[in-house]
Amino acid sequence: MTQVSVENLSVELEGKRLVDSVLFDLAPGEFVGLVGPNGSGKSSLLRAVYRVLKPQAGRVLLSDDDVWSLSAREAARRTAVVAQERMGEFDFTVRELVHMGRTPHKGLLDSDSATDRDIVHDCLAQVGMSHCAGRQFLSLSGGEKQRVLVARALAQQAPFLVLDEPTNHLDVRHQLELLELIRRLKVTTLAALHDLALAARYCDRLAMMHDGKLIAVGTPADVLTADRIRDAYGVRATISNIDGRTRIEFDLQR
Amino acid sequence: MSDAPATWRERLRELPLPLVCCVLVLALLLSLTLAVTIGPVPLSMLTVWQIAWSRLTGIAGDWTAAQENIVWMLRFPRVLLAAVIGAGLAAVGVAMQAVVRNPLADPYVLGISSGASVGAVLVLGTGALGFLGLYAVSAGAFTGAIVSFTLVFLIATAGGQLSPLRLVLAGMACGYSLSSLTSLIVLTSENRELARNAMEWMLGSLGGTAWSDLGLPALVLAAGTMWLSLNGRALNALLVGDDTARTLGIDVTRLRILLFVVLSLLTGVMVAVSGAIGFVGLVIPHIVRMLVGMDHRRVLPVAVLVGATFLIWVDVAARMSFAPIELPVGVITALLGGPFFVWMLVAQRWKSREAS
Repeated sequence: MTQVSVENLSVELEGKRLVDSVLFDLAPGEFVGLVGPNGSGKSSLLRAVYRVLKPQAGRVLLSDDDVWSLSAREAARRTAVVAQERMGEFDFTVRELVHMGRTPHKGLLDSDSATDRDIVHDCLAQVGMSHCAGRQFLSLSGGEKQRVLVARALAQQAPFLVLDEPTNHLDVRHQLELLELIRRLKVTTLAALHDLALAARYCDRLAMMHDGKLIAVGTPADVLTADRIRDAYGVRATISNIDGRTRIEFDLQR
Repeated sequence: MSDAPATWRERLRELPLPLVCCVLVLALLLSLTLAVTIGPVPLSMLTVWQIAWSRLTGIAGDWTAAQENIVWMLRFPRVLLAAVIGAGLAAVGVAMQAVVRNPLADPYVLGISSGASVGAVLVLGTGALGFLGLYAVSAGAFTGAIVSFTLVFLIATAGGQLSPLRLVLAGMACGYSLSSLTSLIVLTSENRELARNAMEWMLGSLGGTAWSDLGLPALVLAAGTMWLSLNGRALNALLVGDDTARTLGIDVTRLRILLFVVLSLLTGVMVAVSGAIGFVGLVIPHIVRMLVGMDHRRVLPVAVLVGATFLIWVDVAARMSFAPIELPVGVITALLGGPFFVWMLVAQRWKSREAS
């Protein structure tokens, strides 16, 4: 059984093919890491998956429904997103921002219920940000902001979570905590990740992209080979496995 | 940042909305009454309400016909129109800032009021849209507003990113051109009355308001702010970003088109009766956000009430400060708003410098 299928997806922007016939599935509860060098099409693929970029070809299925056949609202109930978006000048409080995660569940006339407040409270607690609920979002550090945005995505209570570089700006401890948290949630997750070793450690499977194409999907051990890393990133990788943990060292090719 | 002002602001933000609105409604009613009592012929608050009551119920009392005329025919419609326009401009400012994600936006700064003015004088000057009767000028102003709004937005977004600076510059460029176009139409028009009234109207004035001027703006205000308030959540999401709004289930394209129409309608109707009154839509939303936070479900009703009260008093100042000469109310809002705008620009530059 699959929950999310990406079927021969191609995305073009201003005549440039950013994503080229990408095909893979996510099983319920699976945590798949999307890896690849900068500009390989990870963000574009994710934007197509969360229904912001309309693909030129192929489709994205959420339990057999094409995302573009769903209303924006229904899609948002099924997919929660932590994207890389700069906040403008308007300064919401942390609580207000996390409450926004409830938007797809609310009609025009609904006000915030006690249930909504409980959900927001729990989600903030899950990312360890309860103490900041009343603070202004823009006054937080980069890592704190990222955790608040994760809390907002959790408040959507969607069965599918998409994260674009969620560990950016986080220090080592918060990176580990965030990935642990995603593991614990057991929600189907697709996350673009920079750090190959962390991706290998926390993800069930990895999907590696290069030049808009998917060059490998599989278990971290299968995907992360020295040859493939050389092809995609143009660096020499030395991979070792100690106590079941993947370690990768990189060197520039000379 | 020190702790004390943060907690002070937090406490203010935690106040229940009905309580805040109750206080503001009382302030608005008091302002309405006081504003009617103030004028060359002073009246007591009691007389004002007795006259209003008698007009509504038909019970006569012991006041002169002149007093009744002043209260009911001259001052009441004007003060009420000030309230309606102030409320409308504040609501438009709040929503417009969400649409373009820029605290420097308001219908005046973005040249949308100027667009509405062109539409209005075109109708007055040429007699176009005559079949719409009483509403022809408003319809013309609405058309002008939506055309200029779309134009400014397209210019500012050309090449992808909507930059705050480009938006303000595009608004100013369009505003200047359209204002000149208005002057051109007025000065070359055959219609003498238009030329005589145009000067005052182009500066934004509430002089000579009759009850019949009040109906359409009040109706559009009620419907428009109701719709905006219902979409408070969507406006919140839009303020964060288009992608975020989409991932929260908002149909951004549709919402933006609807907002263009509703905001142009509000601006057009306001401009048709009072001319382009500047900066209310800039100053009021900014102050209200500082006080009650960012959530549009709080900001909108509070801004409507504060805007109404604000413009009532600005109009009192316009009537009284150089009596018997009456200033157009737009002159005073511009006197207050110009420096405020500069202050916001400077504060914004500091903020972006801190961030970088």
